[in-house]
Amino acid sequence: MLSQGKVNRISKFDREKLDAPITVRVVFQKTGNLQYFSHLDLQRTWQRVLVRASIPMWYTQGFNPHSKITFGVPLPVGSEGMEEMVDLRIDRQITPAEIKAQLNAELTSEMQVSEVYIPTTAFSDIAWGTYQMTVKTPGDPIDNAAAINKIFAPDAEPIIMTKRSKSGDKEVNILPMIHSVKAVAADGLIKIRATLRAGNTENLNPEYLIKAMRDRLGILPEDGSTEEVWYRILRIGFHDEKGVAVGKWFR
Amino acid sequence: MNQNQKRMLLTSVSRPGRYAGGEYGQIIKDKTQVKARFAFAFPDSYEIGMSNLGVRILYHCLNLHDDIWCERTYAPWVDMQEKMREQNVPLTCLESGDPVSDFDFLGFTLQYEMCYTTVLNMLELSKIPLRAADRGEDCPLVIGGGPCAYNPEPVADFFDLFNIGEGEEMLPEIVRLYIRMKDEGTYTRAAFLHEAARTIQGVYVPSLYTITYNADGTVAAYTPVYDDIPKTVTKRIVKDLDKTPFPDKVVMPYIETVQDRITVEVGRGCIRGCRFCQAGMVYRPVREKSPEVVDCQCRAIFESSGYEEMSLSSLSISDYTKVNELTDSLLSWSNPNMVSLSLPSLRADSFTRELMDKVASIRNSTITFAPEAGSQRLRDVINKNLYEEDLMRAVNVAFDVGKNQVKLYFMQGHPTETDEDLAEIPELAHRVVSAYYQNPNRRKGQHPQVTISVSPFIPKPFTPFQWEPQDTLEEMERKQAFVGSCVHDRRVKYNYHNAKTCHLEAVLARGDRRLAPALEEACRRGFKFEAWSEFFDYEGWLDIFAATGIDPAFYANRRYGLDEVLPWDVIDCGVTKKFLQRENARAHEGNTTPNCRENCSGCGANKMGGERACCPKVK
Ligand code: SF4
Repeated sequence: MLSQGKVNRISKFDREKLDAPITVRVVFQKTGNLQYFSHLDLQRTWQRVLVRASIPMWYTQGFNPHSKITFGVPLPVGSEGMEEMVDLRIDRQITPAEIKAQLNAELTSEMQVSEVYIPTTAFSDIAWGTYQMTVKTPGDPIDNAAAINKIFAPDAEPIIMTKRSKSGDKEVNILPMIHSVKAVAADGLIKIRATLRAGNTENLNPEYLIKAMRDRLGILPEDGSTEEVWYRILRIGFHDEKGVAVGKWFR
Repeated sequence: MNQNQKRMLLTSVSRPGRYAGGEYGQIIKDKTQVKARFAFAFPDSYEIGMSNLGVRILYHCLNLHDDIWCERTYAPWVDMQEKMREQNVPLTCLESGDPVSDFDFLGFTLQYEMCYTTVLNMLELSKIPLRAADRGEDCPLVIGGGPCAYNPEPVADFFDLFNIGEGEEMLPEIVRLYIRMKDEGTYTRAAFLHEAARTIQGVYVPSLYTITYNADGTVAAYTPVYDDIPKTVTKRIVKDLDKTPFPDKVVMPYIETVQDRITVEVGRGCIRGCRFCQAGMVYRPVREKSPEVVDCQCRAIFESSGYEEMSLSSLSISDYTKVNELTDSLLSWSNPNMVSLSLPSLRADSFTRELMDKVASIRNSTITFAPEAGSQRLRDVINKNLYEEDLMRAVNVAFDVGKNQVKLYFMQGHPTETDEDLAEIPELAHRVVSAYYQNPNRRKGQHPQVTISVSPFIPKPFTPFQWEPQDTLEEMERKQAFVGSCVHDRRVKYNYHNAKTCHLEAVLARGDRRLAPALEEACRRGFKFEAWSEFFDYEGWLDIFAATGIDPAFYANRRYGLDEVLPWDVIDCGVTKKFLQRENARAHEGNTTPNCRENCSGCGANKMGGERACCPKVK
């Protein structure tokens, strides 16, 4: 039974069963208001999105059956993402285009699916994430950009920060976790492109860069008015250790 | 506030998802194309408010009108409030992000008395004057509704109007009247309030009634200031629940909320008539939805939400006449879709193996019943109409299928209660423990756990016990300790409520307009979120009462006179005062009253009409 408004949706029960479940990768954005929701919230949301989009998920057998979904690298609260990824295990015939259309009908404009495909890479291949940061702060943007480039240069002084982990707080030098930082001034703002360690083994939250700029350069003062002082972070993609993109363009 | 400012604010507080908006299912309209904007406020956190079914329904009913845009707003958590004050940011609605003060209406749902200070807190955050009398023409009209509106008097001075009863039709009518008067050019705040009070059933405009008091502090009389408005305001019901608008799509929270699931009512009202229960009286007459309609509504919400859990809502679900038919049709699609069904509010006497097998939400090993009193004598006084055999049979059904945890709800402080009655609460729990060990089908190697949860009695308006005094705080606390001292088994766990909160609840529940200065002072002192124990400040309240010359015992611990004018007598909730008096007398005689299906006891609510009701038709 289809309810009103679900024009493109074929019930999963009307689809043919596959011989064995397969994995598909869904690439989506998490922007705007969605930056305020945690990874846990995102997981719960997707469980429901998949049900209402009638995606033929494969369910584990046994007492408490559940579908299997695996996310790429969690996006920190306060960052937006253009190329977030989730792998789904499905067990009925459905095309990537159908998955995309059915999902997009059930998602808001801030979380639309851009690509669905059969993955040939694993999330464990991810080594680096690239972020686009926009900063508005008092002072000359050109001077500030130059100063930012300097403190994050490979040969700069170590940047020691307290990093939180499950085993307690640790003092670490974040510089080795930075692949590159490039800041430029544009329209009175500072635009930064930063490639940082990402993945399960080692991950650098881009907020550490903000904190370092604040501590070292005094930009983004915390008591500044919010009209004059703000920043945004957008994650735009991932690379493996060899510099090959993991995600949309690599399959 | 632009997106960049919003980001800086939200990333500086805990759980920013509460303030983000942008949920799937939210309704966005073009504000230049609508004629009235309605801010629907829930005076508690987002997590609590988003779970409320009434809000879901009324949000839908208002937004069905193309020229009305209803949005949501919740009480910001304390850390957010601090930032907002620091940065001079007012309270806004989630959908548009616009300040609440820009809206035409601000509607509060009053679900529990302990939210009153949060209501004032939200008005203050919105920069709207607390008292209706101080509001200018440009201020939103502040509306109150929900269960606490049955005695709106303690908060009457803060509201422009109240909705008494069910809002599905009344609330849109109010907004339509506003639009009409604006279109015609006849609108002024005063003219609108008068017209609403005059023409829309269920509308109570407190400023249009003057109150006089007797020398002993009781109410002398309510007098309407115009001849053409009702002397008492009769509540509103929707006549046919099947035909009443119900959302087929809900706003899906991204963050975890308290009750994040499909919830559909199967009916309103309750046939039972427990004498302490306000909901059981004020939602009369008992009306049901057809099983086909309930099934369809559940299915529609499932399809548009993807929820994995579904719950039927009712004051007593097993009294729904078609409960088997309904659960069968629900399970026919919920099982293959792996949606679990839960039935709250099951009565022990109608708890069957069949129902149990159907709803056994496998993960849940606890079964809950509410005997409300420990002894049969007292259960008769409160008209619970439940026998110990029923309870024992019910727990054995649960034990048969492997459950081992039982939760039992009780109240203390019922009229005529003695320590012998109280001692029966733990005794009953002990007997449930023995029943477990005597059950041959129990799961071997497991031990039972019986939790007894005891909350103090709070006399509520429009109940047969509305006149009864609440125990003093000392007595409530003595009884709590006494019950604890009677628990002799480590398989029995004993919980009890904060008696101080219940004392204040009684004051607010039975209060009158003279409480307004105290609430105002509480707001000035920053009181809010008082339903959260960590924010409840009893000593602070005593101090405020002393400062404002209010004796809380006058409202909580006094026996109200049977022929005294009650603060809520300005409202007619359907059930007559005569009936309540009769029921009060029967309670003191220890006599029970049959339920509405066995025999109508003439409560008077049938005069309201209603489809699929069990009441006799009025001649
Ligand atoms: S009118 Fe009779 S049947 Fe109807 S609710 Fe009242 S007591 Fe029950």
